[in-house]
Amino acid sequence: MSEQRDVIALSTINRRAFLRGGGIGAGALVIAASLPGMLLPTDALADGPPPGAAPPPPQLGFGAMIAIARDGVVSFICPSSEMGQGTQETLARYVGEELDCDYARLKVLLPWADPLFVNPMMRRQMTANSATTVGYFTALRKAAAASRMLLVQVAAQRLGVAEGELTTANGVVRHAASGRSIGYGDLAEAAAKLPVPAQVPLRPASAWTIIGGSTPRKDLAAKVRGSAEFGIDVVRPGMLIGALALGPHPRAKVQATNLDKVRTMPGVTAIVPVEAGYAVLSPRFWQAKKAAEALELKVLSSPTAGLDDKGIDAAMERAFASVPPMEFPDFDFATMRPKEKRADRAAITAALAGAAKRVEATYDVPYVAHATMEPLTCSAHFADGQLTVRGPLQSPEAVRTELSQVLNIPFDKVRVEVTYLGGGFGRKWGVDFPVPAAQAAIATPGRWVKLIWTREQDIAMDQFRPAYRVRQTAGIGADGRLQVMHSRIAGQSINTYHHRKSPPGIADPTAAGMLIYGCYGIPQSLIEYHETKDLSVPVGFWRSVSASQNTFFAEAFLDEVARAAGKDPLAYRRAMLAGEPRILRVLDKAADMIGWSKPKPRGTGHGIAITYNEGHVCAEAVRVRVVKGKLTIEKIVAAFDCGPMIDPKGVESQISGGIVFGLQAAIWGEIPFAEGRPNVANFGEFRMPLLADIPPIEVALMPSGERPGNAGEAGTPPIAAALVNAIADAGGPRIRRLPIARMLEI
Amino acid sequence: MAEIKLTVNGAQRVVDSDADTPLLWALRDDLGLVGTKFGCGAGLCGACTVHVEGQAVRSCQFPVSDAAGKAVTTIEGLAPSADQPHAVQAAWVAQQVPQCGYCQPGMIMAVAALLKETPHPTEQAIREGITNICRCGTYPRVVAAVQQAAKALAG
Repeated sequence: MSEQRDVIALSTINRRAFLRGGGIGAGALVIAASLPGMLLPTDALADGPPPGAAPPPPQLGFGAMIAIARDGVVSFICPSSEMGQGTQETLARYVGEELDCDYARLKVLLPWADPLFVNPMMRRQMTANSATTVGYFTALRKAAAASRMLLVQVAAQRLGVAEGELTTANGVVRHAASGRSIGYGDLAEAAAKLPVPAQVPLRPASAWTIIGGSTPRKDLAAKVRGSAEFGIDVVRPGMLIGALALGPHPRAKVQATNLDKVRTMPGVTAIVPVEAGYAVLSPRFWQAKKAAEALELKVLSSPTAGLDDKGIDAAMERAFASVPPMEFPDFDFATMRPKEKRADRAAITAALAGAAKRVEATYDVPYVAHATMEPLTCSAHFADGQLTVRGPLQSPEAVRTELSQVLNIPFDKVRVEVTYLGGGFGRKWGVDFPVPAAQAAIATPGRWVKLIWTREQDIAMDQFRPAYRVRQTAGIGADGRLQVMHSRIAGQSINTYHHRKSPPGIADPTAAGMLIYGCYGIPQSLIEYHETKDLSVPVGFWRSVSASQNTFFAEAFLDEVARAAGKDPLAYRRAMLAGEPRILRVLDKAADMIGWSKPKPRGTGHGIAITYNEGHVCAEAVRVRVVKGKLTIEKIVAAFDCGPMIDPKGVESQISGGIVFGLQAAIWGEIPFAEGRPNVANFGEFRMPLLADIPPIEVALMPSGERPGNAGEAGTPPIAAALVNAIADAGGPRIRRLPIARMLEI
Repeated sequence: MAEIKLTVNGAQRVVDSDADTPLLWALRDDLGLVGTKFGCGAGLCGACTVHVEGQAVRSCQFPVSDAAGKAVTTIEGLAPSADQPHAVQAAWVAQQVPQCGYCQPGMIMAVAALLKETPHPTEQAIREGITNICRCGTYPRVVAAVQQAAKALAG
């Protein structure tokens, strides 16, 4: 899309929507960017405007909004969900950079589901895939720049001077020659009536002052005071709070056998059948919870009835033996399509048979939970046919569609509002948990209802990162080079569980994507996926999705290959990355930070691993000691490039936090199954790292280029591979099955 | 249900609750103080940490009846006012500790209590004394923030 084609349009609907959702005074200048070429699919628009709003003009496409009130205060509805990744600060910087408002006073507001807020890149209003920073990069800056241009136009008329003589800063238009100035608040109403300029130039990266700065995130003040509204904090007069009694699986059917008795328990207002169980409603959660625990449930059916770890293991083997594999071709990130080149299985088999040396290994990862600190929760209200849902949602648009379809309520009668998220990591992408809240609200019309899952229920009802087993075979040439690789993965398909389609003709990318890294330029490679179609464990997107397990498989096995070839694992990677300067730079930095080439004492080991996609490169290296089966992690380092960094302190925290998230899965994370349900209760079993467990973590930021990439998921994938590689280097066992705590004392 | 009188953030409050109600839920559902968070309900994560008579307690494991007649401080009452943050809150913003922020009120309350007891904690004492779970993994910034707060409190 060329910049010349971008048009900024001011539209009535945007303003009305803004006024309704944001509590902005009348007369505000409200701008929305409409970008031809990034139009919403027509079916999304066909669903109609939000309740009470005028129909959108047909060209309406994108409208994350900025409003300037008469008092000069600038408000910005951040269209994506803030779940810790710092999206409010990142996107606010786009606005501040081009608007020249008083950035310290810029207010950020929470969004609701609205076609106005779609991410131009994903064409959905969804906070996932690390797509916020890059998705809104151009459009939001243009909206802000257009606003500034209009304010300057009005100021020029009022002051009777040429626009070129005016400057803007801190929410004021200034005429230096005469010393006169006018605040944005006095200009906004007139500016709102002007046509939006067709050409909106943007400042070059070299001129940025707010982008790339180090001001503290705008959400922090409320978060340290305890006043940020998370989903669990939604409070409305007369609200009922619901605890749940649930079956063993989110799609289980259950029947309560003692409803009448429990209904008489203290504080119980109502008991409502919901998905997979019952919601017990009371003005107080504690009374609701006691009653929910007293409900006796008969399980009528459950998709995982009788399942245990042996059954999961057997399903993996059945898939390898009898489910025909789907191929996952090398992927082109520029077009988000598989590359044309297809592997020739016969040639792969022949090359492996003819290799000077073959390396084979089987790797495993278990199911793992998201375990966001805020357990699942959602609030809802239903009256006069209108449903309003408010909660910690990564996918407000999909939730709106789901509620409309499942509950048979017209789309324009469903309003979905987003609070702060007490962690998301992909779990709150799900559309499952708002449904029972809405069901409970419909059963008690006119009263707000808030459902809260207990920690135990949050874990048991998770959509887990699937367990996978991988069989990898590598062929090494006489020169020691990796010539051919064949990797077969078995496990559940996330797309299948969610009734989503995978790209036609190829394996589900969420299972098989990047199981063999394209960056290494291995002459022949083949990825195959054997779906375990007879497993129905609830599965979903877990921070970094396929990279979370496939980076472990790919980068740990590559270490084995390097050692089998008699090569240093770093040197082996470097030799294969000659044509990848961006990756090489980051890899070398991490190696340097850990002191790769320096001599180390016996029992000490170094490990390194990389992950990359179109928006980032991350290398992590670890130093460990392994003595008599006891593992000590001495240091973790990361080098990271995600293009220009909008909020470098925020990027750093995403990488170090992502490492901690990955460490949990690598060392302790495991959801075993027994008797048809997850055999884990709380944080006692699903062990979390504490402050005392965390080794020193150093992150080197290595910005590059002019277009931002993504950071939210990059820190998590490499750590498990770096860790097991370091353990092997230290003389410990070669760990091919996570979590590590099964093998070593920590 | 029984009437339980307690002092919360300096004000006399009456809670009409089951005696076994955890202080956490009395604060949230009866008094509307939702800054204190529910994380695990088992005393494992510390998201619900408040002060009772100046001591950090995990309020999900502390019956409200045990707080009768006592002084409770929650995250809402830690600082005298919004524009005068407690030293720990100020350090938390300066070091940019929070990510999602959900566990942070509990961690801040735990740190404030730690610093009251041990005004100059060693790094080791901080690492062992703060046992709150943070899923975002904000830990790498916590030690520096605690040290900054300790310095500020020492004046």
